This record gives sequence, C-alpha cells and structure tokens, in this order.
Amino acid sequence: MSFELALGPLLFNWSAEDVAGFYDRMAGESLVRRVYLGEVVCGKREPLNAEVLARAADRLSAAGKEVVWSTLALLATARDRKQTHRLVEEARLVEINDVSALPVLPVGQSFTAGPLLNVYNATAAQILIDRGCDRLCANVELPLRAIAEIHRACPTLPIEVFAFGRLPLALSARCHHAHRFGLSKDTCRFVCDRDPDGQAVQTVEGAPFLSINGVQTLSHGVQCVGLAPETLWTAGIRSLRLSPHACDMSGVIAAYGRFIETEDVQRLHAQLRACDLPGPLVAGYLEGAPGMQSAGA
Amino acid sequence: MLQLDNRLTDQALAEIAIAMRRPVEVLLDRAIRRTWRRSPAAFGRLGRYQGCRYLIAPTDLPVAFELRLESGGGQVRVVRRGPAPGCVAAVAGALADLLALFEGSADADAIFFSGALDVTGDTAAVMALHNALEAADLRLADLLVPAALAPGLEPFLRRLLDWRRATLRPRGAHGID
Amino acid sequence: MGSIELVCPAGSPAMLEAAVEAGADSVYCGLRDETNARNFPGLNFDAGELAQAVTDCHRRGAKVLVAINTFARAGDEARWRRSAETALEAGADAIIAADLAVLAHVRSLSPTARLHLSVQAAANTPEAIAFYAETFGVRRVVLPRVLSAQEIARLVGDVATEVEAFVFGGLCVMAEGRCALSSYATGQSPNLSGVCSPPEAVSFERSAAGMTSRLAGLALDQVPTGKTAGYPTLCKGRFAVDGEASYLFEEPTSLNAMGLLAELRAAGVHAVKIEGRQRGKAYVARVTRAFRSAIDALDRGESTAPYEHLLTDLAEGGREIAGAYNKRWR
Repeated sequence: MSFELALGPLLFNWSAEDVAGFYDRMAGESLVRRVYLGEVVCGKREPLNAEVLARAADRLSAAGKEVVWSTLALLATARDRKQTHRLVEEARLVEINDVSALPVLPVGQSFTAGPLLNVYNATAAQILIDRGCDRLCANVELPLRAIAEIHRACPTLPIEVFAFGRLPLALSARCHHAHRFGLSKDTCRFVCDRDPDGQAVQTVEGAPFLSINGVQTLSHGVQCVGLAPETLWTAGIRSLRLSPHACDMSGVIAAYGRFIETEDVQRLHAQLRACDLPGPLVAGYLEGAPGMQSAGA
Repeated sequence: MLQLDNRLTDQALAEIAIAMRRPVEVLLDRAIRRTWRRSPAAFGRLGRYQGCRYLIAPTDLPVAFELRLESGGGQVRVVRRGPAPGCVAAVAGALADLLALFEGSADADAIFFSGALDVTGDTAAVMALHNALEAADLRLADLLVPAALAPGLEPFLRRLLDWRRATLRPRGAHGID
Repeated sequence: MGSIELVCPAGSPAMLEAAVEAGADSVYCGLRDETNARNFPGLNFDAGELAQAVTDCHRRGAKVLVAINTFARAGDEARWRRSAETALEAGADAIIAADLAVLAHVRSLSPTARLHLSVQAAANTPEAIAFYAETFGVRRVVLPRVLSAQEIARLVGDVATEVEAFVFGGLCVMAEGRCALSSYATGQSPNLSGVCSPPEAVSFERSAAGMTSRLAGLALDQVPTGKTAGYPTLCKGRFAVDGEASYLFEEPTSLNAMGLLAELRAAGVHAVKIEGRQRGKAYVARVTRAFRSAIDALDRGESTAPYEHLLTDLAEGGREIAGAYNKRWR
C-alpha cells in the first residue's frame, strides 16, 4: 500500500518569514509528495504572502514535490473572483474549493476537488470527474462507508482524506476574529495573525470546543486517523492530507510515515501527542461518529 | 397570577380535582378523539412517539395532565403534580401559555423554546408532540368544556376566560385572529 | 401575484393553508425524511399530503415548491431520487435542490421540471450560478444571506436566472450548506442528515445556576432561574474566548428586511422568501399577511413603512436586524 502524504494549504495567517521558513523546511521532507499552496480562507490575506508562496512553489518543485494551488473556499468580493480566475488560469495543478472556479477552468484541465466542496456521493463525484476532476479530497464530514461507496462507483479516482489538523467546520461572511476586537471584516487590521493555530473557543462552562480563524470556524480538537491503513486503502483512500500547524510538523510527518509502514494506530497517536499540538486528538468523523469523539475512544 | 392563601388550600384543591377526575378525563378523551377525527393524519406525525405519555404541567394549576396520543384518539389523565416516571417528557408552564401553544394563536418557536415553557426529558419527543398538535385542528373549546365541569378548577377557568377574551380583542387590520 | 413573488414556508398542511389564506404566492415544503433540510420529528409532508397540497394550491392560484435540498448519502441516492419522483408526481411547480446528484436525478427524471437552486448550494457568484444554470437548467437561485442589497443588485444583472432573496426569519450565521458545526458535536448536520442541532442531542438542565441548554452535553447557554433558555442552535450559543463569554458568532436576532423591499425590487429580485417551516400556523399567517400588505402597498406606489414594525416581537430574542444586507454586519 503506497499511501502518499500531502501537506494541505496553510489555513492560518502566518507572517511572511514564518511561511518562507516553513516551506523551506518542508522542501526537505522526503516523505511529503504533494504540497497545496494558496489562500483558502480569506481573500483579504491573499496579497500578503503571494510572493513568498510563489517562491516556495519554486523551492518545492525543485525538491521534486508536486505543487497544487488551492482556490478560495467562500468567495465574497469581486476581487475574490478575479483572484480565483487568475489562479485557475495560471496554475498548472489546481484544487477547487468553490463551485465558482469550475466554469472558469480552461477546457481539458484536470483538478482536485477540495474538502470544502460538497461531494457527498458517487453521482456528484462522477459529475466532477466528467468535468476534469482527477482527485478528490473528501469532505471532512464523510464517514468511511461513504468514501468506500464513492470509491466503488469511481474506482479510478484517488481519494485523499483530511488526516491531521484542526478540522475546517464552517465559513462565514462575518469575520469572528475582527468582531472580537470590535472591528469588522473591512477594517480588520488582519488581527487573525495573532493566532497561528486559530484562537481557542470554550463553552460557557470552560469546555474547549472550537477555534476561530478569521471568517473560518475550526474544531479545537486535532483530527487524526483512528483506523488501520489497510481499512483506509480498501475504502479507496490513497493520500493523507496533513494540515499545517505551528507545532512540530516534521514530527507529524514522521509519525504518519511510520504509521503507513507499521500500521500501528496507538503508536501514531502517541507520537502525534508528542508534537506540541494545539488541542486533543479527535477521530470521530471517519467512524460515522460526532467529529469531536476522542481518538482511541 | 392567582395567589392561593396557603398550601393547604392548594393541596385541598388538588385532592378534590384528583378525587373527581374521572368525568374530566372522559370529556378530555372525547375532545382528543374529536380532534383526531378532524385531522386524522396529525397524530401520525408523532411517529415512534405515538402512544408515549407526556406530562403537561400547568404551573398555576394544582394538578397536571398525562397526555397520550395515537391513531384514533388518545387519553388524558389528571395526576398529582410531581415527578412522572413512565413519561417520555414533561412540559411545564403557565396554563395560558400551554393553551396558547395548543391553540396555535402564538408563534410556535416563541412560546415553545425561547419563552415561557420548561421542557424536560426527551426533547425530540416534545418537538414531535408540538409539531403534531401544530398540524392538528385542536380547538380551545374542546379543552375548556371539560375544565368547566371540573370541581376545584373553577377559579382558574375564570382567569382563562378573561385571557381568552383579551386575545380576541381586535388589534386592527393586522391583528391575530 | 404582485411585482415580487411572496414565497412562504409550510411545515404541515395546516400551515400551508394558513400561508395561502394569508396571501402567499408560493409555498415551499419538504417531505418527511432527511431529503430536506428541516428534518424535524413531526414536521413535513407525506406523499399524499403533498399531492393534496398541490391540488389545493393550484385551485387557488398558488404554487408549491418542494425542497429536496440536502446532499444525497452515498449508497442511498435512491431515497433522494424517490423524493424527486414523489414531488414530480404530485405536480410540484418546482424542486429546490443543492446537491449535484439531486439536480442530476431530477433532470434525468424530467427534462423540463423547474429547478430552483437552494441556499444550501451556497452559490453567491455569477460563475457559480452560471455553472448550475448551464449544467442543469436551473431557473432560479435562492441567495445565501451573505450578500448586501447592493451586491444583490449587481448579481441580478450578471446572471440569467431569476433571483430569490430571504427577507424574514432565522439567520444562518455560517454559509449555508457548508457548515459542519453540528456534526462535529452531534454526528448530525444539515448536509449529513437534514437537521442542525438535532433535538435528540438537546437537553435542558435546571440547577442553582439557572437553566442550562445543552447540545451533546455541551453547555451552549445559561440563563438565570425563572427564565427559560432558548433552543440550543449551535452557532447562536454563548461561547468564551480568553475567559470572556459572548454570543461569539451572532447575536440571537432575526432577519427582517421589509424595509429593503423597494430596494430589492428595484434590484430585480424576482421573489422574496420567508424562513420558518418549523414555526407554525400563527407565525406564517402573521408574517405572510404583513409582507403581502407591504408588497401590495409597494405596487400601489405607497410606502412600506406602516408595516415595518408589525413583526418585531416575532424575531428570535425579540431583536431584528437587516442582517447581512447591511455591510456593517461583516
């Protein structure tokens, strides 16, 4: 079973230096085959690190990695639409996270259907395949049996799963981060840059629950895989997506590399926990349970 | 809100109501059957909650009611206030609010979840009951007639009729019926 | 029908009757299962009730739109296809859908059936709308509540489809059809199961502190004794950041865009929609009558101002806003 490891697009607002440093390190990670780059969460952030990402793309390609550009997930403004058009027309490899990008795709160009698209069944997958989709990153809500069904109906479509990181759960036109500081999306001063892993949110009783990242709401818990590699492979999964966090990502990559070889789920969890994670490990979704169910439960 | 002189009066009223509950229950059972005949599909909306017992507890009455709905009608029992084992859920609130809910003259969400009612037990069961009654043509008169014959409940009935008169007062061209 | 179509919710035949009686031009409803996004216990129509509803409405010059607006479960697509068959057989005037699969199934069953794109498709750009129009022949799009009135005006000019906009009811804070908050806590969500913050996961707990409303055991709000906590819809809960509690995602208010009717009409909006299939006969009667009066007034060249505060007490939490239609909301 030759699983691929992929780095998802960076969801958080990191400084140019941190972004450059991160991708320099990732260029040296031999286990990572594919890297997704691009601003998925907020169109306002896109200009901030555009240059740094372009340089990172060169670095990563030179290191033999496949670089895929991800589109914005919830387009809000005319500028967002222009950005999306440009990305889709210029990039060689593209991940689509909003239906808006579909009709703009040059004819004959293939694409990855991102986890923020609503592909819940085989017919939807097939419609996208007919439009050029050659890889699907499963929506985080999908249980394994749904993924297996899609695989059964579309056996040549490689499927990727969101295997590590705080789970993207919702997007809004309203910027939660800005509103916390009495600002709005238009006047935000990019305050989301204060929280490199998102800002933790608790219930009124103090139970950690979610996190906010600009217009995006994520889980507090950190997603991981709780099933054996063989189970994943049978369901059609060929790639594990690791979403970048400000923790020991090299440790995370190594842990998953070992997991693919040893098939030891407990060990994976133990090694991940040693990577200075922003939250506890959760693994409910793939098992058809609430997403926040603890890993190893 | 009617102020009772002391607990003894409250308790005495409850005992009277319980002792003489049978005629009230029979009349309420018939009211439910009439409602079912008017809207036979409505009670089916309870789905798996058909035949389950719900406790309806008016906070301003000395007794409560156990309600069971199913195809063909159902059953109402007058019971003492207090815990009700065997009931899938309990809904408590002022009698006027409970009746407004059943009668459909108020916004369902406003009464049901964000205001006057206190819901305990299986929330899905209460929601099913609420939606079933919402879809049914239950009329307040059906409930008032039996209440009129209930000893111990007469002071409350009078207040109820006052409330009813108030809600029927014209509110201009855009008022509620 | 006036210059704008008034589209009103129906959670049951009794509610549908109330809406039509109150002046709705169209009513929208769902079937009694997870193929619609208000899959609450006791709500919605069975096949017989739907057929009867269509007959009744057509006799009175009103239309029935059937919501099959959830995402078909992998391996169980037949259920959604059956819902489409039921709606078509009943004579529904349109099917409201969001899933690529459901749109495709409807199209394969009927090349001419009228398709409306649900707000659950989160299509708020001309490109996204064009994709659905070209691929499935979608004739109308229900806009997500994330656009300002000015943006709607621009959008109407850029698309070939009719545009329908929400004007009253509960606000979804997150982009509809793309929110997994509920499934993270409960395992069920609008996309997975047609329900958000399902009642099966709800509990109300009374303690010395007051009343706590919980979802999957998590405290979403606490109110002092004597008051009752509202239904714990996740995004409307109180949360704490750095120890400071607030309605983090949104104040529990409601949309009332009656004051924007003239602007929406001028923008070319074809239909306005009232939210609230689960809110009952009295709600729909009152809201429909108010908007009917307002639209009729508009058509007579009069102001809608006299009708604007009619519905204030119906808003969740007693407060209303123009919501996302006002850019400051972002």
